[in-house]
Amino acid sequence: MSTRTPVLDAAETPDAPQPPAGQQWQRLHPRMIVVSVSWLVGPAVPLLGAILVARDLLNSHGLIVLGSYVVVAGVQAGHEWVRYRTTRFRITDSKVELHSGLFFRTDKSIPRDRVRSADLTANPVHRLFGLAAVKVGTGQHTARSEDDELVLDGISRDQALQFRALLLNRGGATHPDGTAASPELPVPLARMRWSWARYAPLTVTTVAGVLAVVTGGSKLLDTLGLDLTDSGTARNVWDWLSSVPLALAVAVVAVVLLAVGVAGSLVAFAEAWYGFRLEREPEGSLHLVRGLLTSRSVSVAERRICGVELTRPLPLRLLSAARLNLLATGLGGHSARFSNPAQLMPAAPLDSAHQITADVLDLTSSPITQAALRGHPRPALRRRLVRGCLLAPAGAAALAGAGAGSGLLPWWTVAAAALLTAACGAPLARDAYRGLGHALHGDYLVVRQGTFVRRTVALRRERIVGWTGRQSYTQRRAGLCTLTATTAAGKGAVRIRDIGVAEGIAFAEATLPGLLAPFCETPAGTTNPLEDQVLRCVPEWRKEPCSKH
Amino acid sequence: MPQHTRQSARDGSERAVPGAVAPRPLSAPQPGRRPDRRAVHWWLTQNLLVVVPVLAALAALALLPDAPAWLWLVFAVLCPLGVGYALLTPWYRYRVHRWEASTEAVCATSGWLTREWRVVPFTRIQTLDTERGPLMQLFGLSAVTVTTASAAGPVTIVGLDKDLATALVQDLTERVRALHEDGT
Repeated sequence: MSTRTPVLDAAETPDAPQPPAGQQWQRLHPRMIVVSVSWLVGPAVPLLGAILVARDLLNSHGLIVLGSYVVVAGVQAGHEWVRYRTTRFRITDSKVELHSGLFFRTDKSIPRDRVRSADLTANPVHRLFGLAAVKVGTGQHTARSEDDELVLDGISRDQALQFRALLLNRGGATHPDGTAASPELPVPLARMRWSWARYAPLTVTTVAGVLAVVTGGSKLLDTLGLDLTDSGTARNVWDWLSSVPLALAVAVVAVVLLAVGVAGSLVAFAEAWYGFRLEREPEGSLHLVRGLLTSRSVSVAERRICGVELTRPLPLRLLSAARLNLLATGLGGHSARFSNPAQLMPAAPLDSAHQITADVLDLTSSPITQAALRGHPRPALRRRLVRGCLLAPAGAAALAGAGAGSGLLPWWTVAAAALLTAACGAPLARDAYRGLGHALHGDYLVVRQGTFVRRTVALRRERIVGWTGRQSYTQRRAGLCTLTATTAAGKGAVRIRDIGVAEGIAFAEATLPGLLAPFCETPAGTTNPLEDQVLRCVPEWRKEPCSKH
Repeated sequence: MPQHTRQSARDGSERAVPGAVAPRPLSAPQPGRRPDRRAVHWWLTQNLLVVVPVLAALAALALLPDAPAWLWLVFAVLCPLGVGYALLTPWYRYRVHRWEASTEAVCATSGWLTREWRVVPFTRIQTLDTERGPLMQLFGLSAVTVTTASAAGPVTIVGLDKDLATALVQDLTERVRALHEDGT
């Protein structure tokens, strides 16, 4: 049994100016049916291609796959038609509504003054048919994650643009005007530079791309019931590889996979960042456009911007490059795991990243470069050394031991694995400790941490919605805690790891004065702070007689 | 009942003035109010409902005619651990769990091995959820969850008397509505 009391009644907007929005119910565009079914073309091409190439190898297994494909296509087309028939939406002067579903009807509505984002995406098929998808977000990520989001997938591009302008320009009570077409042009903040492509292969996606190609290829062959050993070319390659010395064969395979990875990451980079443009629109909102095949367009109203996150994976750190993410309410979180609309620029030199940070936050210089970060106490280093030089080697030794136990590896590898991991662990632990830092610079909270991926977050302090402290048993022994500033932006939290307890509380109190102090008592003076605080405060409402007593 | 002692008049004189710089170093937040004493029984029942079936299943397996001997060893190790966990953690939790609503914020501490405190100012509260599972209803308890715009920041106060929880939610709702902020 549970009840939820919404504290904020957002629906009450009594005297809103009448917008020129159509108030009738509208449907999605009928061409959307074709678009929705079009993903079936994807599997059909390799399927038919493979069948055509390997006609002689086709067996009943392949036929079953083909048959089930046809069935799936039919069901999908029917489903899309029903979806088209049952989906309706409208914008009234107070809210955006979307009704959908046949058996399970969902009626969603978002009050217009709660709209925090309206993002346009159009994948290649959308663009082919002149359609786009609009995602309307409120920036509220509750435990039930994406409930506060409304997606209109498949309205015409013009309509989508109109829609976005309508939703964002009206903003909220803080922006009284802005609908009038202003003569000012948007101020460009950043543009695509193809020299940035040199950083593209240094990302995890390179490795992931290789893995995807290998696993995807083998999976497809497996699904079709084709065996590579039956093919002549594959056998020839295999024969050649086994005829040359082992080291050469390994090198050849590695080079081929690396080349595939690099090529893949360059293609992915071009697809994601072609036509990249970041600009500030006259009314103050940020506008980002990018993408070759799938065009992405993200608009973020100025009052939603909470800060930035500078991400530097180890390879990028060696080349003094960085990536930059925007922290804004309604961006990131659960729904954005893959498309990452919050990414402000691709991997680029550090100077560009700092410049864009300053521009985006509308400051003369980036708080990340300006802030004098305070390091964390020595026990934090000890914790990292324990992890890097004891726990990680123990894990590596256990893995090697399992290998040795099953007869795959000789026993000396156990010691070697442990020593090697410890040798790498020690400098990494020291680096992790040096990376830790926090500071309050002007309006911004700046926090840095991480080794493999070093993240520096600059968060506007009035955007902190609460503070959380966490102490594991070992942290309690070491007098440390993990302090978390919760916020509506991004993943919802900025963590300061292994900060000294008193220092952390003082820091949190400095960011939001008066929030923590009433709950914190000084450790000195009271022998048992728990016992004499029980009676310390009884709120007003408790004085009233309860019905129970 | 320990509850009655807690209804004494509020003594606000020792509270720090908001905004004032604390001269002495601050300790971790220690909110003033404990959960209801019945929460101990609730935690105990919860723990027993998990531990007892596991141990019973283990013992039953070990009693099977061709069971390996090491099962008894596992049982001998797990039995004191499980019973100790089930019986002791509720009391320990009762020592750690605290909550308080000040004039500006809600604060709660929780946990036993890993401890946690959470503070949310009234201006950032979005919803107040009251939850009463079947076991909680048995003991006349409620849990109140205060959610914010952050996915990471709900404050949950467990083991409250159900009338107290209702009163708390009502009171907080009124106070937050009076502030009339947008919550992000």
